[in-house]
Amino acid sequence: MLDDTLIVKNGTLKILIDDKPINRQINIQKNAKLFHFLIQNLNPTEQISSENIINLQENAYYETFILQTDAQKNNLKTVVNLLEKNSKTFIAGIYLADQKQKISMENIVNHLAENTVSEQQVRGIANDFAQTYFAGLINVAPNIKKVSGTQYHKALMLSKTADVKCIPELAIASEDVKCSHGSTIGMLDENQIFYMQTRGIPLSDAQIILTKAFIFEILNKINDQNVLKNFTQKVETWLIKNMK
Amino acid sequence: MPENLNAKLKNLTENTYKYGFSINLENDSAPIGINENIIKLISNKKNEPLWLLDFRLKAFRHWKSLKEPHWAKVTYPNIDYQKIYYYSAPKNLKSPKKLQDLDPELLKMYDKLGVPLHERENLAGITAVDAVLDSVSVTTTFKENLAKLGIIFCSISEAVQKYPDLVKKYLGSVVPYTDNFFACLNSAVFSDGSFVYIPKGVRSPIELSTYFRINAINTGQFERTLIIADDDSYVSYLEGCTAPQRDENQLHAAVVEIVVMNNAEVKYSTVQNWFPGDKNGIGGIYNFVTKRGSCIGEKSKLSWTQVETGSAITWKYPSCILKGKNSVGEFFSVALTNNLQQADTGTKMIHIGENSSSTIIAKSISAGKSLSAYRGMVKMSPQAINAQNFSKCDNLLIGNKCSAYTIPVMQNLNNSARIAHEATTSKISEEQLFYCQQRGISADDAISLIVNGFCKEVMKHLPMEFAVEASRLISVSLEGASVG
Amino acid sequence: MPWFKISNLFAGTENKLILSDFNLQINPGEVHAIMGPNGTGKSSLANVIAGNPKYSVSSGNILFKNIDILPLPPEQRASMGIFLGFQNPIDIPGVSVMTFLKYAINAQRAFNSLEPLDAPSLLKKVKIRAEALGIPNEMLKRPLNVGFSGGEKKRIETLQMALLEPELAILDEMDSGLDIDALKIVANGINVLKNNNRSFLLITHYDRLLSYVKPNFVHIMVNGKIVRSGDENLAKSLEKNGYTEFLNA
Repeated sequence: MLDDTLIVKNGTLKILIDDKPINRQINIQKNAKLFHFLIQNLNPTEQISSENIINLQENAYYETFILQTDAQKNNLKTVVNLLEKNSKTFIAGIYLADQKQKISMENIVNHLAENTVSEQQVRGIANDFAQTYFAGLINVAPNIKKVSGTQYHKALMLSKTADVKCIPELAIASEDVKCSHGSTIGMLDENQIFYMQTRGIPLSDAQIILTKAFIFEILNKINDQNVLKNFTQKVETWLIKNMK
Repeated sequence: MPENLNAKLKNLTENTYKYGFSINLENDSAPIGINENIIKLISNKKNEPLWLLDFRLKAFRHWKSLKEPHWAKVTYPNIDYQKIYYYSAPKNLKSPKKLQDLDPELLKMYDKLGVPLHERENLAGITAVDAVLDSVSVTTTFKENLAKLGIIFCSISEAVQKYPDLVKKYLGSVVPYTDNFFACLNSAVFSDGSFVYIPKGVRSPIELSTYFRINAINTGQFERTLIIADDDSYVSYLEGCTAPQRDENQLHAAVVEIVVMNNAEVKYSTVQNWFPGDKNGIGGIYNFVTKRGSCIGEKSKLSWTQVETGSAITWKYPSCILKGKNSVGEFFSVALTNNLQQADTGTKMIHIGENSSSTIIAKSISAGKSLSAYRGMVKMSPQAINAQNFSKCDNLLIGNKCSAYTIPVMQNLNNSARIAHEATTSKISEEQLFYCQQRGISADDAISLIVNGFCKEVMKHLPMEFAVEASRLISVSLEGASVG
Repeated sequence: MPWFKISNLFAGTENKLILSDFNLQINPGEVHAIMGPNGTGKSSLANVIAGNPKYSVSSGNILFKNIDILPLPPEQRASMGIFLGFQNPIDIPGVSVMTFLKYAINAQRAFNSLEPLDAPSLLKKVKIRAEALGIPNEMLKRPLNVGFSGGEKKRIETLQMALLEPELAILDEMDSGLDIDALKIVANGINVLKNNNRSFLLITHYDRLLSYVKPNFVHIMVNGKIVRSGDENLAKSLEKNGYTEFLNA
């Protein structure tokens, strides 16, 4: 069910900030760019599900930063259709779940034209009894030339009782494609922790620093200072609550 | 045939009966279809003990309550289970009498793969009248060597008679009949298969191969294999061969169960080339195999290595249940599809034991108009402390009409466990092709060279001879891909 | 009949014409050098002779031993005796140097109706030449060019040339990226192969290589054709004066 249709006109640049889930269809026209920030502020008991479909025309660009951390049940699906040649997209996602939350993030990128590029960078952290689910699909249609698609997902588990699931999927029907994806689920790198400890940093501090770095690797790509501030505040609140 | 040769032959074939390689030349068969009476008839004909009949009946009753599963990505025609012979279909009537009667494509394939003449007859289902003298005597000696070490390698039917306690203890322990529809059917009507037992502390000096069980190739559709490696033992088991496998029976539902105990290691290698049937792909084989190993012992290890080509629609997800502490599971696979073929393969690694680890390396090559899918599942259960998994799935696409799917599912329920997965999709670069051609290597040869290089990481886990055969098979299967 | 002759060749990629009325004749036993500014088509020339499908020929022909090689695929031209030493040799993961050598040598032998070389003979042949080129044994076991330095790649190209014994060896910037010692080894590898039946076409920027491998003819190539030919002194004067006079010609 669609709540809103947005058209980003030829050659224009738009910034869109969503702080509540909306089901959107967005059409980005030729040479236009959209920078989309989703930072959902919700009640802890809410159960929500939303979906965004973004269609890109020739040489269009879609960049989005998603922070999913509120509500009891939070499902978000993002579908990016690279309909015409030279269109590109960058999807950055962060999900942070604790207590008994159930958070799911699904990113689908459809390469339907030549010379299209997609990149996904997702970081997730699960604590307590949270259940998280990440699904990322890079789909390349037949007879498409020069496609590049990458997807990197990393998840940290802070508790023995969390449940983290992910399915990074590739469906490729063209030859002239460079696609790769990587996914890890686990703990912080003990070599990095040890290194910090040998430099005098206590264990718990090292863990916090590394976990923060883990998320900020993505956040640091946000150019808009105000938006960055909002994202940072929310992430830091969660980290303080969950890491000591 | 000269008189003395005839006598020699008679002697040898009688000896084979003695050693249990019974060539099933029964002319009577159970009536068509499946019901409790037929199952009782099968069990009776095989002279099975009551507990096994019981096992079959329980499975059958459960099967009747199940619905046949259907997967989204591939379709296969409806199977009428009442139109299948569940016991010794009269093969002689249907199979060709002479090599010359065979499909010329099949003969060409044998040539290319360098299959020796006598093997061709066997593989094509031509019942041997001129017995394979050499291989019969070879198998006889080889069986004697194994017996000296206490290694049991025989048919399941024979094992049921000679080693009932062993069979009873482990049959269904890794794949219970409740597991899935096809495993359930198999449990009710399985015909025969291999039974292997390696006693404590014994390393099998020879690779055990299904080829040595002469009639293994003609085994029916419901093959059941059980391999038990006791503490500190080792065995390498080979299944399949590069020559095209053909069978009148389109549906195969086999079950392979492997039990690995403390410090033991089992290597299970499969090289299979499924016969594509006629030009329209009719006659291709549908293969639903449940292959699972349970690494119950501490430091137990199970490696699955497979190279599969051909048009069969194969659902085969060799899995490891890593129960023991420090147990290790490995899966190395090359799936190659060309023309109109489909492959759907993958693995499941279920981690339960502390410090268990698993490695998955899956390479798939698609050419022509084919489709190749990898489906994986890695699960870390809550008890899998410090467990680790690493998976790498690479797809190589040749030509612009083929496709590849990678669907790896990862689930972690223990925060000290680690799962890491990487996948890439690429094509053979024009630069690589031209470089090889400039050195005198033709385009087709260049593609095989490059593809074999791509699969090297997997091929090195195959026992030597198998690896050589597999390499050859890959080259032959890729013919025409450069033009494609 | 000329042994190797390029006549009125027009060739390029799908976007542009690179070789424009190119002409060149080479006789057996000669060493020719082609020099010229960047982007003038030197590498393209080498690739067109070798049959790289990236390039197409719109008119002209290339005769080698009385046969027009333009219709022939690259592997046939190679088996007739043409070798291209690449400027940036590509890597082939999973295929060891030794395995690759075996395939190439036997493919060319098969084309010329010869039996494949048996393993011990092959090994011996490879080892002798590898040693002379300073290539350690363990490098022969590594996948071809994967992670090799520029210098190592050029040595492997030279090794291949030594083993394939071509009649016409085209070396595309063999000297680029090499230090003095590596250059001397590669130059030595070339000199050792010089004989009355074998010719070399050296494509180079600098005359460094030419001080170790003496050319019989030096050609200057600008905008897709040869604008001046001379002997080794031409190369020396280029070093002194640069290409300017030829660019305006």
